[in-house]
Amino acid sequence: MSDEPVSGRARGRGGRGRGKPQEQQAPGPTQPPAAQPPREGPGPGPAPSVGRGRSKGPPRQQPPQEAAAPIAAPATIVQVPPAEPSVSGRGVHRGGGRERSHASGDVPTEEMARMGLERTYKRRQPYERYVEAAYKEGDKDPHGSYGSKIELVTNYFRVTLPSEFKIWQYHVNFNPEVESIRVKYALIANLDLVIGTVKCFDGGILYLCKMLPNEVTECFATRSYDNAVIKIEIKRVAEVFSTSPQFIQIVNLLFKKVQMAMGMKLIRDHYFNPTQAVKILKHKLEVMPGFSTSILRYEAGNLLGVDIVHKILRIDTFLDCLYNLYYSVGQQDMQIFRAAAVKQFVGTIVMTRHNNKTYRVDDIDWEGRPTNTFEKGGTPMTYIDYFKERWNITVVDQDQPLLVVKPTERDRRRGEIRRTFICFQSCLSEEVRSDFNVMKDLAIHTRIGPDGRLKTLEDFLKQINASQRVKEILSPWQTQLDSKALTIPARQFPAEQLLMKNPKGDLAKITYDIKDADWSRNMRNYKLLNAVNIQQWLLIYPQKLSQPANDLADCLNRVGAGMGMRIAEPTRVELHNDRNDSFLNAIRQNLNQNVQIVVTVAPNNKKDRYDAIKKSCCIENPVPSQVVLQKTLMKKQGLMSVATKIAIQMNCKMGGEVWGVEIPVKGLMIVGIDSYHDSANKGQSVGALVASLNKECTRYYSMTEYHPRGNDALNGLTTLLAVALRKYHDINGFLPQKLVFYRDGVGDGQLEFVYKHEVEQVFAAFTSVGGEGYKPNMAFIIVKKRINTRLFSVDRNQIGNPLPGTLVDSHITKPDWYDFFLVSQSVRQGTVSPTSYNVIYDKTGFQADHMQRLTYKLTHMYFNWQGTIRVPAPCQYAHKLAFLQGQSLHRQFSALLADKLFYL
Amino acid sequence: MPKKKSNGYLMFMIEEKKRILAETKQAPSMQEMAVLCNESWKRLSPEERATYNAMAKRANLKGGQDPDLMRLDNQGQIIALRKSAAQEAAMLRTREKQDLVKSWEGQDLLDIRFHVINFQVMYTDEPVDYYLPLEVGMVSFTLRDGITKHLHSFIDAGEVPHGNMHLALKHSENTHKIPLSFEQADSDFLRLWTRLEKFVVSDPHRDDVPPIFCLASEKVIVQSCLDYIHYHARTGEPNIFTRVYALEDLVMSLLLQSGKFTVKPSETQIHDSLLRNQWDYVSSIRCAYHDESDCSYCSLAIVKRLSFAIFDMLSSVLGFKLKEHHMPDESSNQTFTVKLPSSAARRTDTRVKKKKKKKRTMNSEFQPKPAPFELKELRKPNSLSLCHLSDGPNILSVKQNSPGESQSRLQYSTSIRPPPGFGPRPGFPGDSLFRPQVCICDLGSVEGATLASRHSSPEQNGSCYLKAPVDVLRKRSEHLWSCLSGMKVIFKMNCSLSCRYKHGHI
Repeated sequence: MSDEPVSGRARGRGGRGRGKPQEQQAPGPTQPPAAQPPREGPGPGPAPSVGRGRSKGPPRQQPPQEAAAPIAAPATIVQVPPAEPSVSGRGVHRGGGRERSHASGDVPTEEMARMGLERTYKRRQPYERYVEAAYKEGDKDPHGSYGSKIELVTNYFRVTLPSEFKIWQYHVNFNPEVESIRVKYALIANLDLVIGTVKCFDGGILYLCKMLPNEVTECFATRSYDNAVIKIEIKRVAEVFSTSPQFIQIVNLLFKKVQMAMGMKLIRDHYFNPTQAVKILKHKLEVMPGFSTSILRYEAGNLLGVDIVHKILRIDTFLDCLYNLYYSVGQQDMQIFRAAAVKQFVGTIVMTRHNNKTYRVDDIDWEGRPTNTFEKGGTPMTYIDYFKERWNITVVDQDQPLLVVKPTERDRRRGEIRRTFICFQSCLSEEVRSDFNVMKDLAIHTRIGPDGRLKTLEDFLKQINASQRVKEILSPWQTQLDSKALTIPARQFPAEQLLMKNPKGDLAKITYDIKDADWSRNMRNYKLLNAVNIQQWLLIYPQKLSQPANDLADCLNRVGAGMGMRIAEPTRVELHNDRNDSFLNAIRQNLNQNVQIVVTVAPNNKKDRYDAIKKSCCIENPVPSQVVLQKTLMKKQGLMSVATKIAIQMNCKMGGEVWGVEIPVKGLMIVGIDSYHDSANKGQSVGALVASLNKECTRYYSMTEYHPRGNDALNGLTTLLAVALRKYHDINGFLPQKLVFYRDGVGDGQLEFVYKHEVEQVFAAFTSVGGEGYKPNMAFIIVKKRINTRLFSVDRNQIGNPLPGTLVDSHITKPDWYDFFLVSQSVRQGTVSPTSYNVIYDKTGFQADHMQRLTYKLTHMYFNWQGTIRVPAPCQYAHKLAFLQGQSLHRQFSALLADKLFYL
Repeated sequence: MPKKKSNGYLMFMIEEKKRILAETKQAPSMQEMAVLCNESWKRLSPEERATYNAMAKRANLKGGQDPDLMRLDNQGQIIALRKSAAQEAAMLRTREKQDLVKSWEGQDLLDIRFHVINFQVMYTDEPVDYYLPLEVGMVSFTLRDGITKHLHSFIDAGEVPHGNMHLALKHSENTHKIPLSFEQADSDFLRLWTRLEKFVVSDPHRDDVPPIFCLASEKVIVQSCLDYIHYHARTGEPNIFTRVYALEDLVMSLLLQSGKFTVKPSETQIHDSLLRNQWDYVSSIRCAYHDESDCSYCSLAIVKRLSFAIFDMLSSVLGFKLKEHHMPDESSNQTFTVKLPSSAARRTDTRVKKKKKKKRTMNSEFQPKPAPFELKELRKPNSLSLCHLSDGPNILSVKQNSPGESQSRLQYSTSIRPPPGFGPRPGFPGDSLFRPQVCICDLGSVEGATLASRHSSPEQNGSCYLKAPVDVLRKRSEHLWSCLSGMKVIFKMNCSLSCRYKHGHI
């Protein structure tokens, strides 16, 4: 966050927002096309900008403070508060930029109007983007009433804004133009006499609580590093009322200031609390707690949503790691050590602690030393000097190698060729992340139960309200924060009844305990809703795994009997070795038309083998396939339960059904959509669509398409849906009259785009299948899993997770949206995270109750898990399918498998 | 800023301004004019307004065109003259195709020698200036004789360029698994270059060095790698491999040359068909190192796989027989033992009986049941002719739930002829089979086209064509749809299926 333009956001913005100012201060006007954003003065040179010398007792807090000084304000402007620069987040910078153009555009607007041109300019209001579009059909009531009423505590805190209050918005203009946002802060900070201490400045817009006497106030300030006198024009633009959405944005800015005042540190997007960091010396890690916060307008008013986030950092430095490796490798051969180091460390992510930025290590420069020099502002400078001067860090070990980081695309555009760093603190590497024990130890700190979480949040707010500094920040704006978490009404759905078959073969209803939301035991004495008998199947295993494979076959036979699924003896194919080739040959040469499924026992989870088997079985020789790992079978006591799960999975893969729920709607089709990037085809994402084919929503038709990555909307939706509709027609003899789409993987920002793009395609599909006259009713629901909303149940002062089936559709929902939160899954540890559903289009005529219950029912329908899941099953199926194709298949699977859940 | 578009009112204002200037010797500003002219503009008759509008239109045309033509982009290039790279590439490929076809004139297609090349490189990820070759594989074939010779070598491309270690390691791990300093790698570039030259032409001084082929997507890599080797060989002679053409274009041209296609086959199809995964792990086609590490990214294996795919696609179209050099040698790797279930089944049954009496009662219920409703419905084919598509080899047919069916596979295979499209194709030793496949994403390219679908039937000696416009087909049903999509892959034959027939059961 501190100053260097080289990789800061301010820089990027400078590039983007550049239009006119280019000529003004390009010192070398000789290369105009090079996108070299203007940079003022002796800012850090093109090459290595960041880094901290390895010093064993690092002065962690100091660098930023010291750092702000040399660049922004050494001489005249002395009182640069170190906190100031980071007051505003990125969004605001952009908003500021845009706002500026609007403000200046105001005059021509009026002129045009005066000119008498009939068309009045419809300009977007500044901050209109903070006002969310309403996705609600007319006066439809988004609240339901089904289920027993309960009360829940949330992670939201009420924010009381003044009701009759206005502030003034000013546009700040610097002359000559100042590009660096930090310099701007420093200059503005100098103007306390004119504008007062209470202000909110984001680099372009200045908010003040008072009205400056003149419409345009002119002031002068001296830039510290070159003593240039800069004229600052502060032009009054507008009044902002406390009721406007813009004001909420200002409060968000203020809250960031508040967090700074609490001694928290900004790392990437969130503020963290270094004083509360917990060190785990065993793994040389450090867990730093922080909060993700946002203030938004909800149904219950303006609320502050807070959630706990964690940053995991390493205690030791990169150089320490290198030394450790050096001693462990044995110190004779440098070559071996270097090879080992390259293998272990190249590609890891490191974080430089002086500026909290992360980089990927692309290479290690063994010959390089901190005493090497680089060009800085045209003059050579050693790394040691640079760090001393720039960051006040003394490089102790002058004999350490350098890390090389390739410039990113953006750096390259700026003309930067290579960056070198000195070894520093590194982040959690992949290796550590995959280490189960480490993650377990970390989980103690990161996975916080509901009671602990709520307590931490409330304590945080209490601290804030108790702090005098915070009062100083908030009181001029007449903003208050509650320190008690918001309590809201919610509803509890009862456990659903599942349809299975009793031993006689009649339909039977089973139920389950709502607490666990798991019916693996409840379904034990019942048979599958629709079992596929396996007459002939292949069991392929390497010779050394013949024992577990035979056990599996026996167990499958036994558990299958219990489930009403007759599993005959397999054709066993024993491989003499476990090469990929052998597996593929065994599949190809033994496959015939009667083989219903291929079961492969694999010794380990080697990805290329799995991919090869799946490619072979999904593309070339379409047949359902099941890969079982040796590890899974080795759990001796649990083989029966493992076999049960495998048998259910096999049943689904062959087109059977396991259980059902009653959905009383006629002619309904549920569609789940998700997308996943393809690891092999660069720039491509797989979009998967899974559509239900029958009334019970137990049979699905699955399809995929490719669309360019980055653009999240599916392009081939029309085709996919048309095929699904035709299939539906083939089976039922009629086309569905109601369709409900569950769309996963869309961020808030893309809502509008997806809405326009995909809903349109859906209509095109209707027309292409049923002609102009076919206009089914449909609803389009956005499913979001990664949200910061948390819900807590209170039972006799005991804070816990809400039970599965808990629904919230008021207070913390958006005022103009048709949305609700549903907790459908049960978690054993940690805090449950509700799923957000947002109905952006609804013509089904369902009441909110119906929609909510349908969604809840669908979370029961994922056959790979004998319990409820977080999202509606079609969504999860679509995710699974997209994942398989993106990770393993890399192309379209055979259409012959489309009516089966072969990808489970 | 582009020039503002004019409009009728503006034209009127300008005229008025001129008039006022002439009368009063002082011109009001345009802003003032806007207010002044408002009333009089409203009083104008529609005809008068129309003339002004027409004037504005003309002005727009004249003024709007020229500046636009001369507008520059941010690179200082004139936008109107800018060429799209994709378009250029497409044009280049068209020229290459024409060149190819021309060079074939008067020759028997089956006897022309083709060379396919592939390089494995150090990394491809970032926009790099040059690619560093680590392995080269090349084959030479004629359609009639199959692959006659091959060339393979590991190349020592030296140290990883500074700062690219991560890319190199990642690329190696994800694909070819060649270690960074590899003892098998050849650093004698001159010898390697001579080998490459000798492989393609006997006399490198001849003018007509034939083109060498690679996948269109890898063209840049191949050219860059050839340049790299040539540069390091320091022969003093120019690089003879000036023509590196796309393999997709070769297949396309050959298909069109066969004269059996009125409609251009889809390029995506050809591409997909070339990149089939069928022989990915056949050990006999790989180099020793990659066979050892069981890795499919072997240059030699890749060129061989591409060649096999070409033979497979073209054999029926151009009418040549697939012999041993047209197919990978898969005979040697009988690496498994098959244990049929018959006796084993009984044994387990008895064991179950002994151990769990309760289970037995369950088992006794395993009388053949009527097929579950859903399944039946799902699998009911819509129209007769399309039976085979819905009842593919691996979809359970309703029959399978009936008793007795499973006991004798032999009976099945003799009494029920495989549906057309899945049966063995007579007159072809490999018994290649057609396999329907859906590539929905590719629809754009076939729309409106006429499709030819081949159905094999013994009576017609393996070939009959069915032509219908897509629209007609599409309207029928979804089965047809999948069939239709399958037809797009006209040339896909399934040797793996054929192997099944050959090796075991029919």
